[in-house]
Amino acid sequence: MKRTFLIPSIVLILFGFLVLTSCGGSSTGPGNGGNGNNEAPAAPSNLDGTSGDQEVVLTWDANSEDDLAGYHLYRSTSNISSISGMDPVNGSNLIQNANFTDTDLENGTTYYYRLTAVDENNNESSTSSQLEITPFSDPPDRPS
Amino acid sequence: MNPEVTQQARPQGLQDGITYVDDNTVRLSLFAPNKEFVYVIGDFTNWEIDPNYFMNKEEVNADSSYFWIEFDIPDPNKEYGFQYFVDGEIRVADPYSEKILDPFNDQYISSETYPNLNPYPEGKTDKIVGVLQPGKQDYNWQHNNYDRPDKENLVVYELLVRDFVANHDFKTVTDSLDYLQQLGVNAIELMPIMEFDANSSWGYNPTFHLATDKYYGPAEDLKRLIDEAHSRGMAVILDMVLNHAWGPSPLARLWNDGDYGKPTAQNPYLNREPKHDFNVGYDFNHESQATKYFVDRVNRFWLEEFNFDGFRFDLSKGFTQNNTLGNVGAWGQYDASRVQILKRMADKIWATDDSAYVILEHFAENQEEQELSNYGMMTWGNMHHSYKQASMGYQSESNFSGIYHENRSWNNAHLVGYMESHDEQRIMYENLNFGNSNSSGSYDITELNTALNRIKLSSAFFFTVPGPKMLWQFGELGYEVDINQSGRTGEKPIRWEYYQDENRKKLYDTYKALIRLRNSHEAFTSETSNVTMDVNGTTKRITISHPNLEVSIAGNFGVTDTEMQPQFTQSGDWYDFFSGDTLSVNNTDTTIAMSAGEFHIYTTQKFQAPTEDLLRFVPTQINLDISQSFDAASSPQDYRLIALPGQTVEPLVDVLNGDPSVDWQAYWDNGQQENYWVKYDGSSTFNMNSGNGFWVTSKEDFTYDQTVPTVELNENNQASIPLHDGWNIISNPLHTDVAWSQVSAANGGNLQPLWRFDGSYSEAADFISARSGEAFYFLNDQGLNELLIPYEETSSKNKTEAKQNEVQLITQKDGEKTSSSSLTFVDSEEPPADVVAPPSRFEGTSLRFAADNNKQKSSRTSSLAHVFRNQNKEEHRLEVILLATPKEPVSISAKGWDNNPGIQMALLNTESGRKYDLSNENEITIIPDKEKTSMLLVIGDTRYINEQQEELLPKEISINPNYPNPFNPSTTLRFSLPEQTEVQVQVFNVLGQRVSTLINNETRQAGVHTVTFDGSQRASGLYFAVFEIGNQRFIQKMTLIK
Repeated sequence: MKRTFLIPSIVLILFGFLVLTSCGGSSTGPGNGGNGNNEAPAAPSNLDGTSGDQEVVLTWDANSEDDLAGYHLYRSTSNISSISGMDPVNGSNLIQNANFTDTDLENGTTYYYRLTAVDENNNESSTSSQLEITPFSDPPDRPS
Repeated sequence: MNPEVTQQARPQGLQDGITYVDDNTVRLSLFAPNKEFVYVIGDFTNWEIDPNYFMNKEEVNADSSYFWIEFDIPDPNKEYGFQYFVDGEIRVADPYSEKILDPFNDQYISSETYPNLNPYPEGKTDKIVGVLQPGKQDYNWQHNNYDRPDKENLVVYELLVRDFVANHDFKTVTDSLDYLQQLGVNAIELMPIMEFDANSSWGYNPTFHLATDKYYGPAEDLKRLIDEAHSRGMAVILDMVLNHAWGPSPLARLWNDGDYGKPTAQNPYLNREPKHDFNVGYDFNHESQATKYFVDRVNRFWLEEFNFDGFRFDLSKGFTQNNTLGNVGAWGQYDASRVQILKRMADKIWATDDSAYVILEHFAENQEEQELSNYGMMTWGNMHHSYKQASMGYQSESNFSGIYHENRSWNNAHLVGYMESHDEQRIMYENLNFGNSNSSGSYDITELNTALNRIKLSSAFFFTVPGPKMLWQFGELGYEVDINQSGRTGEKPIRWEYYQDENRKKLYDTYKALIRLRNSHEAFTSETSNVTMDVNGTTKRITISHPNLEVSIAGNFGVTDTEMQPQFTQSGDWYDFFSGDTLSVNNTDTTIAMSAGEFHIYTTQKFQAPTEDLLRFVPTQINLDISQSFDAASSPQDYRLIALPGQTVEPLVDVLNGDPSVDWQAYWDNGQQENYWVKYDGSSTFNMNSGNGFWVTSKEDFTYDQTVPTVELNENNQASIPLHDGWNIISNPLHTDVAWSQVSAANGGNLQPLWRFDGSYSEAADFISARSGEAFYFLNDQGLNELLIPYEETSSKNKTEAKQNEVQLITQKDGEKTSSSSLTFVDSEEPPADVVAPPSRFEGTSLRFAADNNKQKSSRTSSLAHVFRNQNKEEHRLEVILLATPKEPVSISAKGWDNNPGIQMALLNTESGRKYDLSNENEITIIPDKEKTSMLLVIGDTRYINEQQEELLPKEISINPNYPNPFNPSTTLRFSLPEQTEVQVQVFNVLGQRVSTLINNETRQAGVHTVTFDGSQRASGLYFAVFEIGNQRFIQKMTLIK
């Protein structure tokens, strides 16, 4: 499911003034999707994760599109062959930074993640490679 | 001018040398062909030439003339020095002197060694002088009826007095006979003690063949040594040197060049040029009548005067006039003339003593040795090289089958086989310097204990072979000093302290056990045994068949573990001599696993095993079959402490199945106070090394079924693992378990306890080998850099149980030990501080002592794993807490209690008052009805325990309402009995129909009991539980609502 999100202020923070002055509202820019552009962003790359206690910390390489709006993260306890029909973990709020901490997970359960990038025109990229990761509890305390 | 020589025949029967006619009369006779005239000079002439001491001459023929004289001695109890002054040129002592005074050497002999030694007549004469004393007291022999061992039974201990006892005297050797007797040898062979040139010597440079060398003390002391040896059943054999004589010998000096030069052609005893290349000194001409006479006199003297039991003849191959100079090979070839010379000599010896040993250091062609053996002589069988190769772990040239006479086609067991004599490099030296090792270095023969164990291995293939055997002094203690230290024949350090060394003593005890075994059955000595030796390969076997004993000796002489067939000659029970174990052999082709250096002596009769573990076969590799599961890997309780034993460097990622963070997670503890968890990061921190361990949880099992090399042990048989300060995850890299108390003792004795985790912590009595895959927690609060782990071959469990005054309360669930708490009785009013148990939230099933809340401040220390009580109190009452899953049976036992007779130990349930007897290591089973059950551990006599129970027991029969109520589907009923009573509990429905019998007239102990009614098969409604207890009846109403 694809949704439209408006994210002006966060984009400012994320991409800084250079982005704001050079391409704010503009549709130009070689190779990059822009407003009114139907071209989807590139699929995010290098999705990686750190297993924690009931949580997984995910990181990836930030996309470089000028009109990038954010990311959708999809999670399943089985292999994700397609995100069709899946709700993103982040719900309606696009993930702005190139990292995400997924909490309240069940320890010992293996989770599968895929990530997409979304631009301001609501174009969603194809999915990243899949990350397979399991949160584990911390070990027991020392004996005393 | 000299008086004219009186030609006069000697008195009838006068023999050469000194003859005491009576206490005041002496006759001297000197065989001196080609000499003109001889004076006797001595203390009685004030060393002047005196015509009264001019000797008569009897010229038998041109090359056989004797000078002789008879004269009186003023004081028969005094020693008189004397010499022959020959042809006005040569001052020489009598060659048959039994005592001499030496102008150069005597001054270095202390009065401790030789008390009251007369000084040399300095300034009055020169060269060695002889001593005569007509009134000399005869030695009073105590043990005249000594029956010496048969040849085939001999175990000979060769010794050099100088290097055996620091006092280098016979007296101290005599004091050491107990040591040799304990070892079990039945003969000692003294390296030459006949007067030899200089003081410090091996003795193969004889000068006076009938005199006892004074550097070893008075001749009387030698007689007492022999007498004492005989009283212990030990024969004494003399190493006799008759291939040659040394320059100062009168036999040389009477006819030689200069003072000490070569014999002249006129010399009737000695060849001017030796006849063989190995000669030293001046070579005897054994075909000359003079030499034959001398040889026979010498041999007879030592047999008759000293009661020696026989001789070992040095360099007997040199007893020939067959000239082989320049051709050593020819020297060794069959020499009929030599055989004749030796047979003649032996006949003479046996004419004096028909069972005297005649042992030859011969090393000639087998045909010749065979003939000598057939004649009744024995020969030395030098198997040093092959035993050395085998001992060092090299297969090449390690075939020592020549130790057995039949393998040389001899009819008789006349081969005195040996691995070492005085002449060989010590095998221990070879082991320590040139021994083999396996590729990992975990088995290394150059390490002392392994080197010692290799000697045990070789000796098991030595003492057990029928026929006489010999060992060189201190071989039984692993003496390893280089034979060339201080020169080949130079003095060697004497190391009696080796006997105090635990590991060397084990070699001594192994020799002792083997000699005892050998003496226990004639299969190990007799010529009638049928012996097969398969000793060419890396694994070696000897089988011995005797009409009533079968023996199979199997050994792995390699440096890696292997399997081999001992080749049992029959099926049935075989006994392993050293372990005492019985091996039931169904198939004679049975294969057994053998660690490097391992050996076994199997027999079909049981012989008493050594009382101590003398052998230590440390495997060089450990075959692992580890499998550890982690349940759902979903909680801290699903972590396990894992490890690998041996010498491993395995990245965790290679060991565990699946991928990190996907299939498993791992942590290391860095020991710090905070931030001590190091999460798996793929670094070398997460290599599984010897002694370390990790917290791991995994969705897949941890499995490891490879073979790893064992760790190296230090000289004290300990492994060492690194530690950091604070908490450590450690593992036992050995392949054997060891009691933690042993580990503690090896590291100063005050170690904190060892903790095991299996979903909960328990104090571990044993440091289980990591071959289980397990690691442990340990708090290093003493700043240790390493932990020493003693290698104990025997089961550590026995040791734990044998520990005095400590009781271990052990809980078990489904046969698995879940906790252990210790109660130690100490002889002190102020026992040590109690040991806090792990926090209960991690505990599974456990039984812990309740802490005294007055003493313990925090709730964290509310339970104790180890408490101490004063052993002088007779009664003890301790609160304990059982934590367990309700409704599941828990077994409890008290280990180590059986050594307190008359005193009982029991657990009392404080709520029900029920008693569980833990005496005699009873294992009791409790099915708790809640997670935490309070109990009392009571110790005392029966009266005390009953009093404690009565305080807790119900005062009258009562029924508690069921709980829960209403219920679905089951409910629990509780009833109390003040004494043992018969009980029936039935359940009826509202129609009065009986729907269930919960207890059918069964006897129940005093206390509180529970019973459960399961209504899952019943309809909703009212039910009545009817109790009939003794002659009372109770009814409880219960409501089932579905």
